[in-house]
Amino acid sequence: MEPVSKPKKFLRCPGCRSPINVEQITDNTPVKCSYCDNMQEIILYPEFHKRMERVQQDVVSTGATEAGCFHHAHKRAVCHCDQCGRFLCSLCDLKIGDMHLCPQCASSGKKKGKLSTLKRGAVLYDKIALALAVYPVITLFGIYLTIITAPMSLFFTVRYWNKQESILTRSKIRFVVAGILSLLQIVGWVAGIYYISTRLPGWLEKVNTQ
Amino acid sequence: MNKKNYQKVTGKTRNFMSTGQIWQQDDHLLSIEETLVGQTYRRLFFKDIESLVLYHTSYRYHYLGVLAILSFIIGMIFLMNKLYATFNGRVTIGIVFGLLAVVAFSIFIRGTICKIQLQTKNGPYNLPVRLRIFKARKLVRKLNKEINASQL
Repeated sequence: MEPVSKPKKFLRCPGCRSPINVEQITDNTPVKCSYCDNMQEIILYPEFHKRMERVQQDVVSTGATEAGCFHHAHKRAVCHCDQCGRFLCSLCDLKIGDMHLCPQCASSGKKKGKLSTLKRGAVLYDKIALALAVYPVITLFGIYLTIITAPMSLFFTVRYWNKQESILTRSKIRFVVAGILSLLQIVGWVAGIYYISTRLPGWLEKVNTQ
Repeated sequence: MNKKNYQKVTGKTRNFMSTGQIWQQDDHLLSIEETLVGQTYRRLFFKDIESLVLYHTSYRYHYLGVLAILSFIIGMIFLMNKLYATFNGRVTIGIVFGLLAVVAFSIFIRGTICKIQLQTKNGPYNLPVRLRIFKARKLVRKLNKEINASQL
């Protein structure tokens, strides 16, 4: 039987990381950290007390008629993987939403993007487009960068208009503002270049005659 | 995933380079940290939450300290320019310090600023939000029902 470390029955202060004695906690009574003197209100849920029992249950060896974990044969299986069907002990059991998965299925599901609940982040293209359209304008010499950033902003706006990655609903207002600003900047550059190119021969002639 | 299932739990808290916000679905909390380019998610399932700690911070006094320093600088500027010598100057001083006093009073009266830490079997996790004590307690009361119901 593998030695299993018992879970520590205390919490740590969020401020100074020093241990808090759980025995002193009574509901709705603020507790003072004995090290940093900061007040904190602690609420313990049934899951906190269940943890100790669960670990003790884990180390029980499997009997002749009991199913063992696929990865830890000496541990009693508590459920099976909803994808591959392997028996799992509570250590290997990953509860993802309503599903119980083994680490391999969870890992492959995450890689293939099948498990949306495992999504850990999203790129916000609307904010990038808006930043590219706005920040160069509000900085002092950044306005010259708009010859590069304005087309980039317009590209992000068009390319990702319907492909927002966020798992929350986002409005398209940032895309709209970024699109309008970047179009104005592009029009400004085109007009400026056109103006200079039409006037340049005249200016050169003047310089030559002088 | 149905995007409409998420309900907003807290407003946005501004941190140094990011903002934090908490959303809720039927069986979990979604903690979102948003930067200029993206969002990072952390799901905290109700049935995994072992404890919740409301940590009273001293941010309120830090804000009051900053306000005191600001008041001192503004006072020095008024003194150096001898604004107290004229009637209009005295009125300006009164308005400015009156506004600062209102801000200081509102910072003080709204209560302690709290951080919330949730502990799951994976370890403690600090929610990326700071709430006034009254709002934090209200949130905890709401979460208590959900968490206890899911752990029965």
